[in-house]
Amino acid sequence: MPFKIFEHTADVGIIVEAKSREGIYEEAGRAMFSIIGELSKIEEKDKYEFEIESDSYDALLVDFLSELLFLHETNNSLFSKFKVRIKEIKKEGGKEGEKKVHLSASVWGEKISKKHTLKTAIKAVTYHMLSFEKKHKGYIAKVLFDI
Amino acid sequence: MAWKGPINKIDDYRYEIPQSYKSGMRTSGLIYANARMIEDIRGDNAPEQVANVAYLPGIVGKSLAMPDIHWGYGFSIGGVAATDADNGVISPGGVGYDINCGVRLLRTNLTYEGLEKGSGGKIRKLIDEIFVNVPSGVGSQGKIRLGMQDMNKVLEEGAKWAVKKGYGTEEDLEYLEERGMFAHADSSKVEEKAKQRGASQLGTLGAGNHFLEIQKVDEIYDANIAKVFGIREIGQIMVMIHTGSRGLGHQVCTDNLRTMENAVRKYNIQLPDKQLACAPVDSPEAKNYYAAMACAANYAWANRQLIVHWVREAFEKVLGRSADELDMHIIYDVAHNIAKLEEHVVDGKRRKVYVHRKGATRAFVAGRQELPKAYRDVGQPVLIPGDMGRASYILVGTERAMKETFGSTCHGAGRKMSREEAIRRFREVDVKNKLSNMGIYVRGASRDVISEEAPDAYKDVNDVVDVTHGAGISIKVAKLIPLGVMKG
Repeated sequence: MPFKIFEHTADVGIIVEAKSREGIYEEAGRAMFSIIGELSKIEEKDKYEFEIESDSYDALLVDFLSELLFLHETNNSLFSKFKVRIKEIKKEGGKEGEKKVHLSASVWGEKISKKHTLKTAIKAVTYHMLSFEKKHKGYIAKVLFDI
Repeated sequence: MAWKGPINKIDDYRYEIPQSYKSGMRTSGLIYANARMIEDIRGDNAPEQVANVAYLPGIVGKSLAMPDIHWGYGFSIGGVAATDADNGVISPGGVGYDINCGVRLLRTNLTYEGLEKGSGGKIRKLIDEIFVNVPSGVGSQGKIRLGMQDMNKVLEEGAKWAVKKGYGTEEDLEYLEERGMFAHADSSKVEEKAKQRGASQLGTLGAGNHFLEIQKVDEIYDANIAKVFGIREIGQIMVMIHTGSRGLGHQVCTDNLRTMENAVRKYNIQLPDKQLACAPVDSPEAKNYYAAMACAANYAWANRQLIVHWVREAFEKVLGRSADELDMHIIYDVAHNIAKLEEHVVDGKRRKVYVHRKGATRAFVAGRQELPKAYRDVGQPVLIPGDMGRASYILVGTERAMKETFGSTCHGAGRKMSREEAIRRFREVDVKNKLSNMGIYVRGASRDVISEEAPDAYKDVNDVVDVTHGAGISIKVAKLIPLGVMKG
């Protein structure tokens, strides 16, 4: 299982494993929408693209999921397929060698309709317990949501 | 994993975390609980959060926790902290994601006898009608879509905007905390994204623990005060609404947490937990957050105002009488996730402080200018929602609360079981049947929400209220029990 959902009394979170950093973002997107709805019922009809930048890979994960949450609410849509590209770039105005991470994403999904069972409203993506680490030959990350 | 730090019993309702526990604490922690609850409270690391809050620069008085305390983001839920208005800090973690999540209570002149028995099962019809009239559930969209101009007005005028648009009356505003409008709100401090999230959600209940209930008065503890609030008899029908600022508030919090994390470095603030991120009160970061938070709070007051209007409409339609004839006036509206600039007497001196209430309710004593004129002789109504099978309470603020808790008390029951566990343990049909046997009709936007919100997934609100009553930080006025429940 590339992602796991875990629960604390009043919150819910995800643990995601992938071979690449890109894979972590893509699986985390799937994990989040498996909490909101049922992945198998979300067809890849509409495509959205966006780009974001953050200071670190873990902050970028919060920002990426926050962006998906924003798209979900403002477009009344659910997503099930995620493709991301990431690259390190020089931080503007930063010190010599200071980098930030740029992410460009394509996500596929569809408008919410009667066929979708919506399970949980996620209010926000938090920094609590946030981690993004190397593990064996891949990566592992943890994110907690406020619900 | 139980928390192992020091907790000293002060009396039957008060437990202290001494300032000596950690060297960075600027004050001690004070938790309101009884002997049984304090063991549960130790269970989820929330006391560590109470100790951490004591690190905040400019904290005034103690780091406080109400009896419904549980683990939260940075601050515990049930946490209260006041910071000095000149040299303290403001922390979004002390407010939470759902800015101005709160409770509103409407009264009626109907009785359970008259409504349910006399005219044949009207509770069910009312809930079904409200269910149609008030959008709810995950991803629910409102009936109105705000353009940018109206959005900015909602953010700056709150419930007043709604009343101007014909949703409710001028008199309604008198009975809302802050009259439903923070005047210091500045819509230019709210990012575009937050406004976009809020554009289609105004007038929606939301999901999860947000609810709308038709309730009846089950017990009256203080008939004189109850009467002032318009609570006249056992069996009287009330409507309780629990919701907040929806995606707009969540986005305001998200956007400002990022800025605040940088501010902590910029102003060299030493904190034991980065989720307590904060900024000095006079910094641009704190000022921007406080102005944006006010906008989200205003959005929430407007949100509850629209819902009240549609509830009145539903009653009018089902019962064929006007809301006025039904005496459907607002008893009060409280915010339980908010930071406010207030004046309090500390060590004999009047001081201005920012009171952060995160999962805590203001509980002002009689005489305070902030109260509606009609309540100034008795004190502020405090509305405490419970789970859908037990009860909710109306309490009143006290002098003791002013002295000890900056006029604050508890806000609800709090979960004791995760949603997943609740879904595993309680089948929707069983929960509905059990409640139905108790005379409670439940309608949920999804099957899971009924299981998730099963009464046994919550702590007993009676215990929580008994502690605040026993400690004297708010006193019981009346107990309400649910008859019809709508869950988002």
